Amino acid sequence: MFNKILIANRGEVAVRIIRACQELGIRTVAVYSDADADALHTMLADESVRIGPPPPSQSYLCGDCILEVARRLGCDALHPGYGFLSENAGFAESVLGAGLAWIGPSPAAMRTMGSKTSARATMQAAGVPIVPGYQESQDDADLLVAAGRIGFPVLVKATAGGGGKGMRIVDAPAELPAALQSARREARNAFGDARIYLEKLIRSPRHIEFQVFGDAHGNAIHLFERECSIQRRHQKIVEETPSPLLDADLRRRMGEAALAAVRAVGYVNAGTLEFLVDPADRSFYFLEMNTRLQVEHPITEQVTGVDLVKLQIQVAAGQPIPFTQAQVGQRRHAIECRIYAEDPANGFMPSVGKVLRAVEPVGPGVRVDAGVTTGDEVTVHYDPMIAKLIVLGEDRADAMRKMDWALSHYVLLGLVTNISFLRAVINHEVFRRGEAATDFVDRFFADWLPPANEPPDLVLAAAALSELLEGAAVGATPVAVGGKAQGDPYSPWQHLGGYRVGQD
Amino acid sequence: MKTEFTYQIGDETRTVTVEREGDCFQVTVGDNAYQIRAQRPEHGRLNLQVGDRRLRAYVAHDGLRRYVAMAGQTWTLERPQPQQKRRRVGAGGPGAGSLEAAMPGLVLDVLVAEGDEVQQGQPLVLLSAMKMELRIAAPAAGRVTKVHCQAGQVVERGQVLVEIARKEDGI
Repeated sequence: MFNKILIANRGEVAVRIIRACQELGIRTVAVYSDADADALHTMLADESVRIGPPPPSQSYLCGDCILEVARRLGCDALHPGYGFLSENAGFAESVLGAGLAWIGPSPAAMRTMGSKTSARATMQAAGVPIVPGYQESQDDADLLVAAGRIGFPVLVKATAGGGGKGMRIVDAPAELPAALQSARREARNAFGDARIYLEKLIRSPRHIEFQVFGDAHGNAIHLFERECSIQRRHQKIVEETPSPLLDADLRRRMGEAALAAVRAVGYVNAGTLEFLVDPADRSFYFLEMNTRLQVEHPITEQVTGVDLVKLQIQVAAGQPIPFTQAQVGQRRHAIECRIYAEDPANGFMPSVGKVLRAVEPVGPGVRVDAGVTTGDEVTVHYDPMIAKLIVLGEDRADAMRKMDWALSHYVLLGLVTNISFLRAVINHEVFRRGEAATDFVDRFFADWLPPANEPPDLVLAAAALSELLEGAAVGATPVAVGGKAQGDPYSPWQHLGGYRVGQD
Repeated sequence: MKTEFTYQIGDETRTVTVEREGDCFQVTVGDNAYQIRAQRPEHGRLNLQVGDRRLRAYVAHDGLRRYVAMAGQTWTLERPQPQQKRRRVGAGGPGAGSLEAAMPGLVLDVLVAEGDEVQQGQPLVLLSAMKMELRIAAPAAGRVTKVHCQAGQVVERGQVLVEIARKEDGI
């Protein structure tokens, strides 16, 4: 087993991995940018090293800087988390070349399955159906011809991508050049790789993915599906398992297709095969493979009882997967909601600021994977996801009720979050029936705004009482007001607390 | 000793008065009166008792803004500005006035210069924040009168980026 692991990431996933290492008795090294000097992951690790200024290109995407830290501090393995360098085969090679273990698949498997273009070819050869697309050229003129042949609307997607970054829907030929340019720029910023490809857009599909795992001893298993159909701007926001769409037969067939991919490339460590499922005829198409840990991995952990991060570490250390396919099952129902710092009343624009107060819901079957806590800053530099809320219920109905309870008891003050939106999604009749497809948010929430409720009297009373009680706590002297008609009602001298002289 | 607080909710102003009476508070919200027991067991938390109902509230202050989490919901309230000073000059109607950053971010590119004639929907500025790219487009045809940003600059939400004079004829 490893002695010291460097976690080349930030936020909640870095926290998740550090915790798994600490539970395994492995020392941890965190890396951080100037924006994260006081972040949770920085504080939690046994050692923390600054790697650069806030922009990812100069910090979390700087493979050389990170590897230098790993060497200097004597790390024997590196976990890349998700995003950033996690799907960069060149970086994985550098890590291995420096004599460290890479906690992930081999660079060769990352190249084959991580690149969507060669993954499609590999899956096609293995007999798994794929969505029609075009990947043969990066030339605009070729892409325009190919798009015409596939038929509009087409999707422009980043070859190195994931999470909707660099993805564009193009409805007409005239829109293609601008979409290509913009997608390439976004892909280059997010992944350091500007290549894109085209794919036919299938209407109202379900997004269902399979968690797979291979080890160095030739064992391959899948850990069942996750349905991730609830997406906004191609970003997953609610995930669940089991999928309400799959029956035992379809689950078995998709699981076999997923395992075929693992065997085809001798895949080692954690991976995810994403499929689009047409709910009309229940046919499925291979979409892409993510050669890393997924954001939504906790729901699989909840229903299978397998700690995927620990299993990643054990498999990277050369140990076999300690159970067989027949020994792993799906029990109960898990749902995850991604909590974003964004404003539903303002077009879901990212919101930034300080978390003045965070109180996480706790209780049976409630799990919070958070990257920030009270006093932490959410900055413009990184993804606006600040936490994941995961529940495990007896069944789907119980899980939905539990999620609604947990969302309503998640206190996050100081930032605008999407919690009210998530509650509306969880309580929507189409979601409750288990019929939501990937166009669910666009269809039912296009013009959604948070309910503009009048604050109840007691909320105003609590605010006013806090002015007195919080003000008193910092030594303010009460100022008497003899009645309502005394001078300027807006004068700061009529109020207590809240003001500081010179404050804007 | 009665203390009065006002909160801005949209265009409306709500007034709350609080008067301590022993270990209780007499609180009025508009025309309604409440007798509330309140304790502050820790910074930012209030334990309230109103009749037979006991409530836990979390409250945070950020400048003039107040966040209150109570009974499964979070509310944002604003104390009025001490002087009614305006933060910025309001933008004009569609097609005229200033275009503001809808999110804090980094200016990737400024695609127009002062004096340029622009068409409706024409991209003016590219912004990047949290790995998303946002295109700020002209809401109507017009002429760029002022550019307030440059590539590489970090801008705050609401910051004016470009000013446009609406094309008065031909619309």
